[in-house]
Amino acid sequence: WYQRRVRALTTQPILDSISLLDISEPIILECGHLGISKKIFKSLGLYAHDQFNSYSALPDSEEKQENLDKLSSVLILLNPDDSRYWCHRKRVCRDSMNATLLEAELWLTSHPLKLKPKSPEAFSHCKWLLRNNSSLVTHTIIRDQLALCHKTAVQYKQNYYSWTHRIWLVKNFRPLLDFDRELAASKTWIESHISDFSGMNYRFNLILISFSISPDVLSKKSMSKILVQEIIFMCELITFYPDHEALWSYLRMLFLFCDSHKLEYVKRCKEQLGVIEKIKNSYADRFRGSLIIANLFGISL
Amino acid sequence: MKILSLSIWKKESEKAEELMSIHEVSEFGYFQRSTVLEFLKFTSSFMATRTTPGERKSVKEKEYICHSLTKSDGIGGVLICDEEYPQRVAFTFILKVLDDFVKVHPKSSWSRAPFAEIPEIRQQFVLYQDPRQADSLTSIQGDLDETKVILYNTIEQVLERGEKLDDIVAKSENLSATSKQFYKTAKSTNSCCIIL
Repeated sequence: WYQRRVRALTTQPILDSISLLDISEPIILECGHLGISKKIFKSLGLYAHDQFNSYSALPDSEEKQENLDKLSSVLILLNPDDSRYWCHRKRVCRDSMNATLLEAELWLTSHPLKLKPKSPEAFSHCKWLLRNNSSLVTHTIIRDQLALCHKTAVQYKQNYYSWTHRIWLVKNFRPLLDFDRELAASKTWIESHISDFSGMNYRFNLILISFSISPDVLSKKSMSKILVQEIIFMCELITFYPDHEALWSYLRMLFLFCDSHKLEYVKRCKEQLGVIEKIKNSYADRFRGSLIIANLFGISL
Repeated sequence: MKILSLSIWKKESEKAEELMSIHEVSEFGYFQRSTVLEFLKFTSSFMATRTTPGERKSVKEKEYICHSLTKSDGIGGVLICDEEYPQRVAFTFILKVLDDFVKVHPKSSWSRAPFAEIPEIRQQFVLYQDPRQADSLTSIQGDLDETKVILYNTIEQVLERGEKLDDIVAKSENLSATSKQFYKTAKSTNSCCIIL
C-alpha cells in the first residue's frame, strides 16, 4: 500500500500546491492541489527512508538505481532538510544531464518548496543545477525560477531565501530575463508588502546592478538622480505608513549608500529636501535614529 | 497588505444580522479556504454583535486585525485585514461602504436580507486593497476623523465577564463541525491562528 502511495507522489503531473492536513484519508488530490494526511506523512517518510537504506545496501544494478532515483525524488519532499537525499539527486544528475532532464529536475525541486516555501536546501539545489549546467539554461527556465521565487515569497512572509535566490538569478543569468520588468515588479511588491525588508533589499540590489550595466560607467550625477527617486519613493510610503520599521531601515540604507559613495549631488537636490524636512518634522523621534541622515543634509536636530 | 473580509450588519438591540458580505481567501491554502471563510464569518458576527451604536473597535489577533464600526442608525460594518493595512483607511472604507449600501438597499428593504454582493461595493473592495491609491482617489484625507477607537490585543479581551470563547465557538451556527474541531486542535497545539 505504501508503495502505491510512493508511486503516486512521483507520477503527479502539475501541482499547484501541497499541504499537510488533518484528514482521515492518506492523500487527496483536487484540482491540482495535493493534500497529505499529517498522520501518515511522518510514517511515510520513515518507510521511504528505510527503503532507501535497503536499496543502497544492495549490489549495483539498474533496478537499484531506478528505485533509489524514485525514492530520493519523494524523500526530498518528505524530508527536505535532510541533505542525504539532495546529495543523491546531485549524483543522479551529475551522471546524465540534458535540457529535458534539467527541466524535470527543477520541476521536482519545486515540490518541497510548495510544502515548505522557505527550504534552503531546495533553493541551494536549484542553484547547483543551474550553475553546473549553465549552457542548458533557457529563458523559460529562468522565467519559471522567477515565478517560483514570487510564489514562495507570497506563501511565506519575508522569505529571505526566496529573495536571495532571486538576486542570485539576476546576477548570474541577467541576459535571460527582463531586467526592467524585475525593477518594476519590485516596486509594486514593496508598495503592497511594506514589512518585507528582504523584498526591499532585492530592489536595492537591482538598483546597484543597474549602475553597473551601462557600458560607460554611470556618472555620480546619474546615480544620484536614481537614488533620489528611490528616497522620495520611500518618503512617500513612510508618510502614509509611518509605523513600519522596514521602510525606515531601507531609507537609512539608501542614505548610508549615498554618504559612503560621497554623492554630493544628492545634497543639492532641492526637490527631495522638502519631503525629508516633512518627515523629519512629523517623526523626529524615528528620524533622529540615524545621525548619518542629519549630517548628510546638514540638518541640525 | 490585504483586506480579507468586509461585512455589513443590521444592528437591532443586542443582535446583529448579516446584510451583505465579501470575502477574499485566495491567499490561503486550497484546503484551508472553507475553514478560513467560516472563521471570517464567525469573527465578523462576533464583533458586530459586540460593537454598540457609535462605537469603533479594533481587535488584533496574531497577524490579523478586525475593525468594527456601528453607526447610531442601526447599521454596522466589520472589516478583517492584515496588520499592514492602515487603521484610518479601514474605518474610512467601512463608512463609505455603509453609505453606498444604504443607497442600493434602504432600511425599509432589510427584511429581505442577506443580500447578494453589490458590484460597485465589490469594485471598491478590490480598489481598497491598495489603501494609498484608494485614499488618493477618494481624497478623504482632509477629513480628520477624531472618533476614538477602542483597541484590543486579543479577541478574548472583547468578551464580557463570564463569557468563554470556547463556549461561543461550540455554540456557533456559523461554524461546521470540522471547523469547531480545527479550533480545538489549533488551540491545544497553540498553532497559528486562522482569523481567531
